Amino acid sequence: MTDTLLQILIADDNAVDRKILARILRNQGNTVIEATDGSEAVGLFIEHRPDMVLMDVMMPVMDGQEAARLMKQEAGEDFVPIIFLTSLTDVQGLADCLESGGDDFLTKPYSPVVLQAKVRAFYRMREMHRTLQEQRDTIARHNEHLVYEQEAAKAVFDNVAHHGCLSAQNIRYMLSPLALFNGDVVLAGRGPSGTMQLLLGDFTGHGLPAAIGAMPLAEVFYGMTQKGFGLSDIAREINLKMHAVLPVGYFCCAALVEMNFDTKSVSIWMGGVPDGYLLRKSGDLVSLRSRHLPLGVLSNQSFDESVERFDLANDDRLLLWTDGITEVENRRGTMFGDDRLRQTIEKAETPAVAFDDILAAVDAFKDSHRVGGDDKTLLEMRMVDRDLLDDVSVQVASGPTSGPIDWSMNYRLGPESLRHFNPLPLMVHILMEVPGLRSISGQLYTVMAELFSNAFEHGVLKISSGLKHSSQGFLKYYQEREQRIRQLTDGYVNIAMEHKGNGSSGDLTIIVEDSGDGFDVARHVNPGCVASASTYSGRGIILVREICDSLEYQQGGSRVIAKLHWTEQKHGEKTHAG
Amino acid sequence: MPVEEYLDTDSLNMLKEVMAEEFEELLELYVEDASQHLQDLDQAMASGDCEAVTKISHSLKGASSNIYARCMAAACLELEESSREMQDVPDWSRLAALLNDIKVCYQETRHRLLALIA
Repeated sequence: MTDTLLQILIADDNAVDRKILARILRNQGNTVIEATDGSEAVGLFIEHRPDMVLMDVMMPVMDGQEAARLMKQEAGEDFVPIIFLTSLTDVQGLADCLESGGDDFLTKPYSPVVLQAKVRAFYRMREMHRTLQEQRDTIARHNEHLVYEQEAAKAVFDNVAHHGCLSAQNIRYMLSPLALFNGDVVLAGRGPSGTMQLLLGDFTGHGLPAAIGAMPLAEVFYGMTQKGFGLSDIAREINLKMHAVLPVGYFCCAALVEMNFDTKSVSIWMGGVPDGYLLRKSGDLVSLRSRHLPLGVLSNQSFDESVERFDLANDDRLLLWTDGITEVENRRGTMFGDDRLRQTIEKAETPAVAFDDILAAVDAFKDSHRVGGDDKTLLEMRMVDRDLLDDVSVQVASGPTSGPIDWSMNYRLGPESLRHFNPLPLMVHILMEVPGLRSISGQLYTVMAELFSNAFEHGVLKISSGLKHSSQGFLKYYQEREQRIRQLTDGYVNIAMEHKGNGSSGDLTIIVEDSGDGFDVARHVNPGCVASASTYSGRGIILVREICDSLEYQQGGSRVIAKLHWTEQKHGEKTHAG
Repeated sequence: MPVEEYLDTDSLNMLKEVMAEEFEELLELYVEDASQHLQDLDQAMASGDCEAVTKISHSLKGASSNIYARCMAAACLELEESSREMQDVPDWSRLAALLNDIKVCYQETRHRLLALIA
C-alpha cells in the first residue's frame, strides 16, 4: 500500500500525548488537526470532515464519549473511524468507549508500528464501506431504472394490445398488472365476421426475456384476427414468429380459442398449458387437453395447427389458466394442483361462480403472508348471443389517404390452393387499399366470406346446405367439409373484382364464380322465404343483400355478381350507399 | 537507583528517533506539564476534591507512560486507582503519601530527562 495522505483529527487535552501522536502520524504521511477538548474536536470535525479521529476519553468541557456520539451523528452514512486513546488498565472504560460509538482503542505508550497498522486497517475499512455504499446506490439506481423500463415496456405493450376486447361481457379474466414480466399474456380480439379470438399465453422464464416475446405475439395475433384469419392460420404464424425470434429454450405455452356466436361453436388449439375445462350450463365438465407442443418449439414444417371443435350452447363456458394457478404453493411446499382445481369446479354451486370459487380456493390454499402469488392468470369465456356483444369495430391503422381507385383483378383458385389456402384475408387486404372502403372493412369481409364460402362449400365441395340444419349441427357439417376437402381433386373458384371511382366516391364489383352445378336460386335466395331466413346460412345471404346495392345470381347460381357504391361523408367518414 | 527504574531507555531512544528535532521540545513540554499537574494535585488535595485527584493523576500517568517514565507512570497509577476507589470516603493521609511518592519519583525523573537533552 502506498502512503495515503489521510486527514486525521487528534483530540487530547494532554499536550505531551498530542505531540507524540501528531508526530508519529505526520511522519507516516498524514495531515493532522489537533483539538484540546471534546467540544473543539466536534467543531473541527464538522469543519474539516477528517478521514479518521483519534480521541482521548477524559477531556475537559466535553468528554470523548459525548464527542464521539455527535461526530457519528454528523457523519451520517459515512463511515469515519473513531479510535479512543486510553490505557489498558481501565477495562470498563474500554468497553464504554466502544459502546459509545468508538471503533477501536489505542493504548499508551503509543507504538508507531501499531498506530500505522491501525490507521491502514481503518483506511481499508473506510474504503470498503465507501465502495459498499457506492455499489448499494448503484444497485438502487439500476433497480429504479429497471422498474422505469418495465413500466415503459408495459406501456408500449398496452399500446400494441389495447384494441383487444377483453372487456367484452362474455369474458372474465384475472391477470396481475405486471403479469407481462411473469410471462403471462391474455389477448382477445374480434374477427371481421364477428368471431371472437382469444389467446392465453405463458412464456418461459421471468422478467424481460419473458416479456419481450409478448410484443410480436400480440402484433401477429391482433393483426391476423382483424384481417379475418382463422385460428389455425394464426397459431401457425405465431409459432413461426416465436420460433424465429425466441432464443433456444424459450417458448410460449398457449391456448388459442375462436368463438363463433353464429354457429355456436368454439375451436381450440392448446399447446403446453395445463388442462382447462368446458363447463356446460348443465354442470357437465369436459376436459380440454393440450395436444400440441408450446408455440415456438417446432419448425414450421413440423407444426400441427389442427384444432378441436365443440358445440356450445349459450352460457356454456370455457375455463383456462396458466400453471401459475396450479403451481401455487402452501407453507409446506405442496402445490395446489390439477385435482384440487377440478374439485373446486365440480363443487361450485353454479357454473357462474366457478371462476370466483377458483380464485377463493387458491387464496385460501396459499399462505396469506407469502409474496409471489401474483402470477396466477385465469380466463373464462362464455357463449352468448352475438347481439349481447358490442359490434365489431375493426381497427384499421390510418394508411395513405389516396390509393388505388381504378383497377380490376381476376384470381382463380384451383383444387390444390382451395385445399390449403384461405383467400379471404388477401382479398380483403386488396380492398382495404382503397381509402374509401376502409371504414366498411367488416361489411366487405362479410360479403367476401359469404360469397366465397357458398362457392367453395356448395359449389366446389357440393355439401348440402341442408346439413347445417340437421340435429347434429355444425360439428357434423365441419366433419363433412374436412373430409371432402381432403378428397378434392378438381374444381375452381374464380374471384374477379373491379373498382372505379375518384377520391370521394366509387363503385366496387365482385364476381365469384365456381365450377359447381349451381343451386335452386329461387328457393335459397328469395328474401321472402321466411324459413330459410331464420337459419344461419340463409341469414348470411340476407346480410350480403343488405350491404350490397345489388346481388345477382347467374348460370343457375354458380356465378354471383355483387355491386357496391360508396361516397365520402363529412368528417372524412366513408360509407356505402346501400 | 539505576536509571532503568525511572526511564525505559531503549524505548525512549526509539521515541527520540520518531520525534527527531522535536524530542527536546517534547521533554521540556513534559517537565513543564508535569510540574503544573503536581501543583494542581496539591491544590485538589487541599480543597478535598478527590475526583480531580483521579483525573489529574490519570492525565499525568498517560503522559508519563508515553515518554516511558516507568516510575512516574506506576506511581500515578497508584494514586489514580486509590483515589477512584475511595471516591466516597477518601483516606487523605494515604493519598498524600501516594502523592509524595510521585514527587520523589519526579525529582529523579526530571533530573534524568533533562540530562538527556543537556
